[in-house]
Amino acid sequence: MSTLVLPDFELLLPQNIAEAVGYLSQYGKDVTVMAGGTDVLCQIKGGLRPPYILSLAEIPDLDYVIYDPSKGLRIGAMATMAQVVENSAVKASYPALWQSAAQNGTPQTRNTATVVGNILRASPAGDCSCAIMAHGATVVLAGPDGTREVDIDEFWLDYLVTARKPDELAVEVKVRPPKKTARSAFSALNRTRQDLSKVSAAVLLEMDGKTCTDCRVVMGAVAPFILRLRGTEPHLKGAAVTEEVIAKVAAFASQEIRPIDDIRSTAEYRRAVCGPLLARTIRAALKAA
Amino acid sequence: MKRRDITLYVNEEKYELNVPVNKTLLQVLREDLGLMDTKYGCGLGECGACSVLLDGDKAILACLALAATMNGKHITTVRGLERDGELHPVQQAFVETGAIQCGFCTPGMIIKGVSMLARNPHPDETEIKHGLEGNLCRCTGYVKIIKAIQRAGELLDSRSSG
Amino acid sequence: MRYKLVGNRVVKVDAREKALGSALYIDDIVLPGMLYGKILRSPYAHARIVHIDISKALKAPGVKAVVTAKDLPGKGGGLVGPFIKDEPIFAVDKVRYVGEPVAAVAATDLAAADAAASLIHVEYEELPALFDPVEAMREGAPLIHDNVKGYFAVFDARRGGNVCSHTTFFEGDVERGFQESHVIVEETLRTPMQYQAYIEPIGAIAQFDGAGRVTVWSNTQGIFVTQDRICESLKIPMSKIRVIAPKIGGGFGGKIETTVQPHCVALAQKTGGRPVKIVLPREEDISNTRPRHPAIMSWKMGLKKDGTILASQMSAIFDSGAYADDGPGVVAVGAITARGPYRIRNIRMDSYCVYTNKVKTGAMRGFGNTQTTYSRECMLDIAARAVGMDPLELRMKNAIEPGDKSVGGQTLHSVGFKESLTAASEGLGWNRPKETKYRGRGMAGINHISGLLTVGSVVRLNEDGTFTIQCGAMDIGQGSDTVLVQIVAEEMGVPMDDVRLASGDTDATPYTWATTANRITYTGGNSVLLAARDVKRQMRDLAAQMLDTENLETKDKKIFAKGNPDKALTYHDLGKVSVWVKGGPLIGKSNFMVEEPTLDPRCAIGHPFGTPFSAWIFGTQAAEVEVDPDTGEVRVLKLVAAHDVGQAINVDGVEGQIEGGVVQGLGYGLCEAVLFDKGRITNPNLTDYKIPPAADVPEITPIIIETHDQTGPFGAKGIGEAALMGAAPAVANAIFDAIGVRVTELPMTAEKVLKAIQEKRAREAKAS
Repeated sequence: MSTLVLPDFELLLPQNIAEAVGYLSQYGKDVTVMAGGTDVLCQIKGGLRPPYILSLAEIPDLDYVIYDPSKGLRIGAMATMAQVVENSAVKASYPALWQSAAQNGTPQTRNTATVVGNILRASPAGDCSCAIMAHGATVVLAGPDGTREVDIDEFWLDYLVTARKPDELAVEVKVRPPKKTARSAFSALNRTRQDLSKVSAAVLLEMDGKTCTDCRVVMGAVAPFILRLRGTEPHLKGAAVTEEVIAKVAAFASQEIRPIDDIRSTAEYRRAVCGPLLARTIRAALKAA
Repeated sequence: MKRRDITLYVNEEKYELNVPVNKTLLQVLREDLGLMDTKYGCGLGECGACSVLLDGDKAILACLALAATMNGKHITTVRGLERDGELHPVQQAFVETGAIQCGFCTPGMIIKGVSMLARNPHPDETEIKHGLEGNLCRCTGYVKIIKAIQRAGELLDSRSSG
Repeated sequence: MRYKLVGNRVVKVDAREKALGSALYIDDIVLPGMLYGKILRSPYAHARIVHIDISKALKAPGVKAVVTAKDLPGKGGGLVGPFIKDEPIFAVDKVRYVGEPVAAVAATDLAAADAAASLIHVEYEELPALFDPVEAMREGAPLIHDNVKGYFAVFDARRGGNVCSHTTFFEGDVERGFQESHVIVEETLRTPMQYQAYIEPIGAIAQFDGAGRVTVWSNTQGIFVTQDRICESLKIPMSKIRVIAPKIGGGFGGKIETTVQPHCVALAQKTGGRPVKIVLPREEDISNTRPRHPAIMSWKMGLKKDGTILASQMSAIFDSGAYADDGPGVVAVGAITARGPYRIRNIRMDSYCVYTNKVKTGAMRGFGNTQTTYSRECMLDIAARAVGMDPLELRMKNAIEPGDKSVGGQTLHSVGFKESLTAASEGLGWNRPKETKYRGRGMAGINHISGLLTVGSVVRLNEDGTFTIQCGAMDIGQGSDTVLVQIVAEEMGVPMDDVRLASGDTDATPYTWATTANRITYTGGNSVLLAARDVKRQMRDLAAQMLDTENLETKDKKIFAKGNPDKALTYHDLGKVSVWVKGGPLIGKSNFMVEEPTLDPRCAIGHPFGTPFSAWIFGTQAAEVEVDPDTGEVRVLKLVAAHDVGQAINVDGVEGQIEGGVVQGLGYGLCEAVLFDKGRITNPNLTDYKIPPAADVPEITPIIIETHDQTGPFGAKGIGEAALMGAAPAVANAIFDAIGVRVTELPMTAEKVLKAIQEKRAREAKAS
């Protein structure tokens, strides 16, 4: 097969979540779930041969982006990145997520690709995934025995492996409500402006004046999955965010990451730019009012 | 299922089809409906030559959509933009500004232009450059395509006011 | 001179149909009973073919034909190649690159063809493979071709071992030049394999009729080249092959020589008259067509303290991949243009075309000159810094002028190089203070030819007073159809709508080599202009006969006796009477080729240029960049491209070619390279073969310089290929200006730039 012709597969088109979960229980690991489809179809054109594709296209009411200042942001499984970008509440309250969605893919893919799909793909280079982890979130999974929530910090287990069981369907991601003093930003480096990220960073800083009281520091494309830099965060938490502190944080980050050589860049380069990119992201978060 | 009955609205015409589930929207447009204006360029979502409009103004990629999941959807391709022999303002602008060389990226570019201007009727050069992400051109260097989209904005303005 | 059409912005003749989406490209053509072809390709870079078993494929569902080399006349058919005929269309005894065609299948749909192809079982015996041309040149290296001298060659190629050809140009005495130099600089620079990345993939359809004739539709830049290669490989007489080109979605050189057309025909021979279509999916197009030759260029330049360049020497190794294809031409053009638009008396340019076990490389915009312009222009900056001179001043000091000669002794009548240096540097603001610490400016000088070989054309006065041009030149998007119509319309004094160009059919349009070598405006334009003048003369003669006077005036599609406009003959009148008064419509014709010899054979060894070059074109591109010292990222802010084109025919077209060429050049310089892992391409898609998107395009200012060449149509020369050559060296020089590092291998990715910055810092730390 090729990028011109798709291989054979069975299509499952559930009309509601229960039906979807039923199919997953029945066919388990043989099913590839398709939300927007842009990523799954690229994988199939690249050689993936799922016996079953389960499309969520006809399950109603999964395309919501709902913000509540006390409860946070709920993004349904079929909500597209374009919907996130067009949402003014997201832009105001979740700058990192907004920035990541605005540059993830292209305008056409953003009209189809979903945020939840990005998380389930578990690519270590997923832009939305990187930002979502910085904000803190839980993934809502519907299974045969009901729903459960998994913290994003525990969701990506290994390269392309998530905590979702084969008979579960991710139906929503709940992003934590931001504190009023929260600042966030996302940035990435790539080969050209139309590209997957070769290294990315997202930070959430809770500020008290010039002091960072709490933080989440996340980087993409530097480990087998989106990496929360727990070893670096303590150097920022509780500190006044000066250029000295930023430099210290940058130095620790470049030691904490585990980059590899791949088609987009090298381990050596990623390690060299990790610090500057993270510094840039911290400064951007603080600059935005 | 291996095949599915679907209804597709393409350029305001209703089509009732029975399609294999592994056919993309691009294949159905070209092979089943004989609409050759939407092109294959890369198959992986980079070149944008397969761009079509969903619901009038949302640009999507036909090569990365399964036709079987598009039941009931309204699609516009570039040939659906013209009205009684008169070019759509975006088409007209591309012709006027010298923005067409080999023409293979042109249908996708025009679709992107329509979609962009629907959201932002007066984009500046930077906004257009970013908006053109997902549409690759190898001939023009994009310079006149950017001018065409700006010109199209002017033509659309005068069309709505005139 | 102000013309009505020439020199203006005109709407292209094919713009409307392309905007409507109704223009037909190869994949838009669907014929009754059409079958789909799939080529089975070698997974090995170098291997003997032990056995091919097609039995399972023959029985697979939907399959109508399977072919291998065994099905071709003689031993695997004839060998093809423009200069050296070394390439079979299906591998015979061995495969020489990953992707080489070994077999092909035609079936009722593409999925069936794909599936059947995978049922063909091929047994290989791997052979040691060579991926580095330097390794391939070593004594005792395994031979990729057992006997290169045994292949038919159109010139004395000085080949042997894995060397496909070796071309040398020399003038003066370089050794003496170096001895007299105050300063000598040396450097080796490397360029990658660049892929044409036309947005429309390569394709063809072939169909035999009841009389044993095959019609081939294909997006080829050279319908006559395609016709010849099918004839040579399949031993089908030329008279039984018709090649037609539909609209072409970009070419840039990649769509000239053999790709899939003979394979389509070979399949169609077995399908009982059913047409067979092969359109390549992108991953196959990137991996198995004909990208640009990578090159390793070692330079030595000697100059006086005052900046006069006394000697220039280059030794270049071009990687031809597994077959010669355009290689011998590429290395020769690279060598003859390498001196550049500079007065340098003592030069020696050696160019080797070397086989490796990688995909065969071929023509791509610039054709060897892109590689040598990059390296030479970097050398000029290195030389300028070595004598403490501004790089603009150094170029100005050594610049050629009208009346000077090209390498080989061709007199250059029109030379707008100095004007382009001034225009580009002023346009950029060469001496403006720099806004930030990490900004830099750089430039590059360009010289190229505007064509060679013949173009034939016919211009006919139709019975209704309009004109039809028949010319085999292909428009690949660069706008040649419009230019040829414009030229004839201008000459005949009619609107463009009154002139129609028929092209792209070997049965019906006169011979031209191909759309390549920057040639259609000059050679095609001259041809249609001469044909138009021929029919104009005949129209005048007929009018003189009918009006009984030689004293005539022509205005607004009418010819009349001077002073008697009321008794006029319209073009329509002449058209109406011509059949019975003259025996047929008035038809003008021409077969144009430059005649003035352009290459003194005493200064060249092993070159393929038996015929003269056209006029030379010149230009300068200047760039301003900003470098991020922490990440190595290079942002190109502005690029000014000033080009001497002789005379712009369609101004929008010339600007469009400059702008497009600049962006391809930026890709060459910053982000494009076909990547290999032991002969296998690891980025065969547009996701990882990165071409510049709009968001990365700087402010581009095209400047048209007109020197009105006396030999060009309305003074025109050309632009297409020259437009690509300046960006990479201009940016490389700008990066050096910004941050003091020179990356000597393209593309200048952030990784390489950052590494160079780190190494410089380390050197400086050690020194202090």
